[in-house]
Amino acid sequence: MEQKFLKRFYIGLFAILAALAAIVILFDPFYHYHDTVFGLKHVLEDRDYQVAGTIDHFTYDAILLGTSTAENNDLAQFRANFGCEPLKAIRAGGSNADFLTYLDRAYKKQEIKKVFYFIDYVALEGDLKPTFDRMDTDFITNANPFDDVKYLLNKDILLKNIPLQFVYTYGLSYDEDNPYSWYQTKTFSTAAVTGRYFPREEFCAETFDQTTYDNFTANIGLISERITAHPETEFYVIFSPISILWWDEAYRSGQIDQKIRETQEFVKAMDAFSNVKVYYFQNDRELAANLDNYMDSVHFSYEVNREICDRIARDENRVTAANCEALTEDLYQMTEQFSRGDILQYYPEATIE
Amino acid sequence: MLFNSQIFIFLFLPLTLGGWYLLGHLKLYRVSQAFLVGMSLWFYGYFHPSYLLIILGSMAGNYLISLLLEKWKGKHAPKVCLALGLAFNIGILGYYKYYDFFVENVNALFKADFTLKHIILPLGISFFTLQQLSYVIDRCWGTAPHYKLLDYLCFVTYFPQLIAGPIVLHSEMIPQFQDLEKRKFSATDFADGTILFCLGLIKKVLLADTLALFVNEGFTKVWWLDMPTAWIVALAYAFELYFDFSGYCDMALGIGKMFRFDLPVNFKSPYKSHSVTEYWQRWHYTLTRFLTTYLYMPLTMKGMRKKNKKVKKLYTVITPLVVFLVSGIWHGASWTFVLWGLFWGIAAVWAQRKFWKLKKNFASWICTFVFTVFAAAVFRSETWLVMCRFLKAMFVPSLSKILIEISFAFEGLSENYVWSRLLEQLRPGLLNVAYPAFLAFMLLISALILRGKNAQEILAEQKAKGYTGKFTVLLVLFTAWAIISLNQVSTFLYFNF
Repeated sequence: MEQKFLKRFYIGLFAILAALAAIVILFDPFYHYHDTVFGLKHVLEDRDYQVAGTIDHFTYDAILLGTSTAENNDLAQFRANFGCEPLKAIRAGGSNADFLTYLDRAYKKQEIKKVFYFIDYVALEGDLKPTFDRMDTDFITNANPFDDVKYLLNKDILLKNIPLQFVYTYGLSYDEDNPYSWYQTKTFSTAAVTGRYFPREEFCAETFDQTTYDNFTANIGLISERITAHPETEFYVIFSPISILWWDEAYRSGQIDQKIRETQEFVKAMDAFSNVKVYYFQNDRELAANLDNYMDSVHFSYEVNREICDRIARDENRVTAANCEALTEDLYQMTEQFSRGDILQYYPEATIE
Repeated sequence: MLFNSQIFIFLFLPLTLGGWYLLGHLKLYRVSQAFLVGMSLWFYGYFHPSYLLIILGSMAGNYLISLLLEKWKGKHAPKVCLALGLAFNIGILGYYKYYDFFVENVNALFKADFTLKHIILPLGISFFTLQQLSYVIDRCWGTAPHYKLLDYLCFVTYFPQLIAGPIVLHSEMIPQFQDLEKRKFSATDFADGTILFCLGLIKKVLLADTLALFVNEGFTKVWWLDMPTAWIVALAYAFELYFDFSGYCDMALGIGKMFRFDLPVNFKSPYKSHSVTEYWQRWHYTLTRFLTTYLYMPLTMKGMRKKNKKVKKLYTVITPLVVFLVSGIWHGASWTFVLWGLFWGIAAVWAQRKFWKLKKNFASWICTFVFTVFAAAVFRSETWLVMCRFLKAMFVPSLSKILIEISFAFEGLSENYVWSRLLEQLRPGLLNVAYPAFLAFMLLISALILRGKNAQEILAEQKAKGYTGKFTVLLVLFTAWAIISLNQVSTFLYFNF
């Protein structure tokens, strides 16, 4: 009697689990095993789980690397402007090592003609190791087949991600060229951004953090290694705009000189490569000082992403070792003017002396 | 490692069962025991290998005390060893569990500035310390023999009871480890174990973890709770706590059965109790047993030996209070736990003194149940401030729409994903009704399950009926559902975002 029960129970249980795992393998919403099937749309909403799979199984010849500010880039615009088939490999809050891990992974799978690398100071000043193990997404990015059970027998995959593929293919509209984008649900306005930033009362003396600087230069070295190894690839490195409020904080906290020095070091290092073009938008008043472009002191609107893409395509805002000092000096002047006076139009109580 | 994890279910458990029965089949009995100890230590050290040093040190200390008692036959040996055992075990528990709590209070009381150590509580330390303490006390009382090292290690580390109980006694476990008949595979025990494990898993994953979504949200919005919502959150937590802890214990019992070892039943439908005394005979029974044997009884005996009638009477009041205060502080290093223990102590004294003479009827049940719900709210409150705010919400009349907002916590449940997205598109207003309705459904299901048979009773019924096809199918479906619920896709928020 017990043996009969045990046989029925375990055969039944394993049959059901095997069937569920088969459904996940078939529809594979994280593209861990293959590209999409049955004409289902590429539904990309779980960035940290999906990027590795898209790198392995999608067809592309260009890759966009960066953090959250690069998430709103429109792939259709890159396709039109640069004549490439782009893929977003974004890691919000990630490290430079994360991006390079993605890049190395992509080189193993595809021939990469263009790399668009969106600079993030935090990522470059951070650790030299990837951060994947800090999140519970390792099972989907590593090569261990045994921990795939977390993916194959996963309620969210079965009840959310797979149905979503059908909903977006046959029901609701979904723009495959804007994966992982978040701008649709945010408000970009001066009121939004000034409501989230509060200037320091004092101006600190300039400081220099040797550790972050060492990390920064070491990360430049890691990027340079990839550039050297792939002379066939065109690298577009972009210093995206950051709001004047972010620079105000850097100025007041005494960190702006270090940021400028790091930028100069970076540009100087890239100047040595003929397959690298660096673009600098940080001193652009239209993009950095217009607070209506921002939802907080860092994150800008979709329109700014579009503007950057168009300007790169027109080869505007280029920076080289020759003009870098002038551009960064202009940034400094822009910030000083704001922090020592213009800020009062947003914060009448702010300290300016 | 947790029972409710895929690594445990798909790797650790099959590997350990396979190794155990294979070595038993080869008649390598001592090796199989050593294997079980090794696997149990892997289970324990899975998250923090450094914790192994603590449990190994604790076992070494207690075993040496027992050995000392074995070698030293002097008149004072039991008393000295008892003092040593108490100091050693309470010292370990005190350091790892209560150091920061103690220092915080000293700092607050004397305006001092002693540094906190922020010690991370080692897994299961409260359980394996009590378990070993009971053994050392029994040794000193002369009611326990000195065991072979391997038997002792098995007794303490046996993984099904290691991190969350039940708190087992040496006298009920070691004879089972020594019984070689139990080393042979039994389909009957394996079937029993499978059923208990699955029922526990279902309770923990599908009921407790789902209710937790609502309860956690309720406690994060404690400042905005109105009276009905506070009671509903407390009720949901009472259900969650039962399904969580009893589910885990059912899993432990089930795994024990798979190895052919019987662990004591820790939960016997506690919410069916008609009195506080009955409740503690049904809720976490092995803790009650420990406290009764090693605290309540000695204090009661001491009280009975007193000649002064007033002192004698005082002992009958003080003893339950002390026992429940110890129980409270054992549950956690916080004043809310102390207060929780005090509330239970007062209720126990009340029940014992028969101030509250209720027959076993609906009224006695509802009074007991309402009190457990109230106590659950105190138990769940992380800080004194949260507790005061929560109790205020429970007892000061107020009304708002906060319940609807909190019930949106179920939005994160993947079972609700498709229909809620559809509703969002078609009739968004209906979501304000749908989530409270889902909450009502969860509470109703929980109440029905609690009114029905418990896991032990279901098992007995199925054994008598010969495991019906309907039961097998339902068990397969709900177990599969629980297993796929062990993993979820997290939403990683970018912190400044």
